Amino acid sequence: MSSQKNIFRLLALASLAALIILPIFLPPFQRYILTEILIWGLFALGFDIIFGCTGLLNFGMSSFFGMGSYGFVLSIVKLGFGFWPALFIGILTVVVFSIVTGAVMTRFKSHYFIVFTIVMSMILFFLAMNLRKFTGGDEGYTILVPSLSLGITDISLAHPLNRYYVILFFSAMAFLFVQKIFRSPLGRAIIAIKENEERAKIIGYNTPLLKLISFTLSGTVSGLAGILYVILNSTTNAEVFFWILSGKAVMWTVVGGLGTLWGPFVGAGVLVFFEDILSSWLVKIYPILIGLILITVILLAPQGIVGYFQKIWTPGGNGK
Amino acid sequence: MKKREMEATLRTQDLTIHFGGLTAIKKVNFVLHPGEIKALIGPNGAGKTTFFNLICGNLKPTEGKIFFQSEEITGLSPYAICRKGISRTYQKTSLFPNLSVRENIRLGAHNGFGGKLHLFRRAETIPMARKKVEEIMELVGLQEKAEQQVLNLSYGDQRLLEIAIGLSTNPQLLLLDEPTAGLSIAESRIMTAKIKDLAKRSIQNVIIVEHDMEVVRELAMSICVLSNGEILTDGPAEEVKKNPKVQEIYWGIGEC
Repeated sequence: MSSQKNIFRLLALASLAALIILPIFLPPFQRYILTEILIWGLFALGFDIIFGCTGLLNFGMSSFFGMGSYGFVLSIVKLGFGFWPALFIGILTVVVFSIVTGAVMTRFKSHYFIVFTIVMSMILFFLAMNLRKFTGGDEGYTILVPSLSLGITDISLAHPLNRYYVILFFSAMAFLFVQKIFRSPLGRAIIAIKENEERAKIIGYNTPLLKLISFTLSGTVSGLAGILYVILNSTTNAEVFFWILSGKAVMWTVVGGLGTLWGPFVGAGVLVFFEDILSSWLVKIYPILIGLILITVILLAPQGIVGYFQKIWTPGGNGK
Repeated sequence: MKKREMEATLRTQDLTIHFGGLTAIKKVNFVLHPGEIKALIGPNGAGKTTFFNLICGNLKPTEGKIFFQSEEITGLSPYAICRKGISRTYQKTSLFPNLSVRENIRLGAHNGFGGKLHLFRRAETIPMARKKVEEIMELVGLQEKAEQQVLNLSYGDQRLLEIAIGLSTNPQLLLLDEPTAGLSIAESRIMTAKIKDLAKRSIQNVIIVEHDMEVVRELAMSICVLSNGEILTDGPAEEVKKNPKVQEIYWGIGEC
């Protein structure tokens, strides 16, 4: 068991080293794609928390992404905040939004929950489209992201490499935080809900509260991805609430491996990378090829790429 | 009310539940004294599992009250009742199938023996829970299968794990719902011996729902017979077995 753990540790360290060194040598467009993969991976991690680890199929993940990005942008545009206060407001917005919506939605089960989450994201999309004075509608806002003040020095986010490292830092911190939670008794209790909610209740777990905690954690992680998206692109608009983005989170997580936490990053990496390569070569038929990749992974490794390797490296284990 | 009843581990007062027009449990006044192992028997549909569901908070009674160690627990949620010290097992095995045996037990132990709210500490490193998990695995004899995924366990081992999870929350009262259901005669004997052993070593207050009269004879100090949601008789095992009504309804005349 310990040698398998070492393989995972080694892989994690190698990936981190590659993520730190690689962008220095990458051409701008490839570096941009890599930055995007980090953001989409983080966004899909939110979906993995709520579905892969808790068993609640949330089809409205774009709501949290949008709330995070709008919280961040509006506090800069309307309130003139600097980087840290804007980041705080962005996160606070999505935390409050997650608690309020989660308190209602986690009381519903199975398809009711799914329908409510889709409806929530569509309501937000139409609100964002129609409340143009506040949200900028489909044009949204283009901003100059304030410099990141570290007390002794300021990091300008105008430079793409700086943007990349800031995004890498926040993504890695969020990932480590989530991983830590899911190794703790609290996280294991959330996984128990996915496994058998009735029994979890009977052995003393306040399952409604745990579901709300998971819902909020999931929303906050996806909301942070929304903030990082603004840092990368200096813009946001009503499109960020659209359901297609939620669908992509599902796709990335399924391909990467549900309930694995690494899976969303791997899934986003594989699919965004192929989409990028194929869309420039085969402009018209690339969606079909992406579909083929999806079908192949689901048929050959239903537990996703990371899930597949976890299974073959930890025989008889629980895959985590 | 008699002093002995006031001191009861578990007491119900006119406990009733209706499902539409059907009265599944009707004015049941049940008493379990400290240190007692009581069998709850009755034909299928008598209301035994419904009674367990009421005690554990899975169902809310239409009327009546439930007291556990003199404290009223009527209408509390299942997790609150568990924290008061009541645990149960299921007739149909109800486990965490994709997790290991050890983790199945640990999930309960975090509630029963501290540590459930640790945010940043690895679940397996919490000392008290860790110690208890090992003890419980030893008690039920699953220590060699600790790392096995529950899905891959034999049915007999799953039944043992069912009891281990029941014990993991550190209960003062354990409700066993047909622990030998689906087991062969040999497995059933092993299970009975294990339950007897753990009743001696670990938990004193047990209510057991069981159809197998051999198991009841072996384990129970007293028997409560339910029929159509009502208590037919309740008392020491030997007395109840001699009751002509019980013989007629449950055992069949002359069989006992």
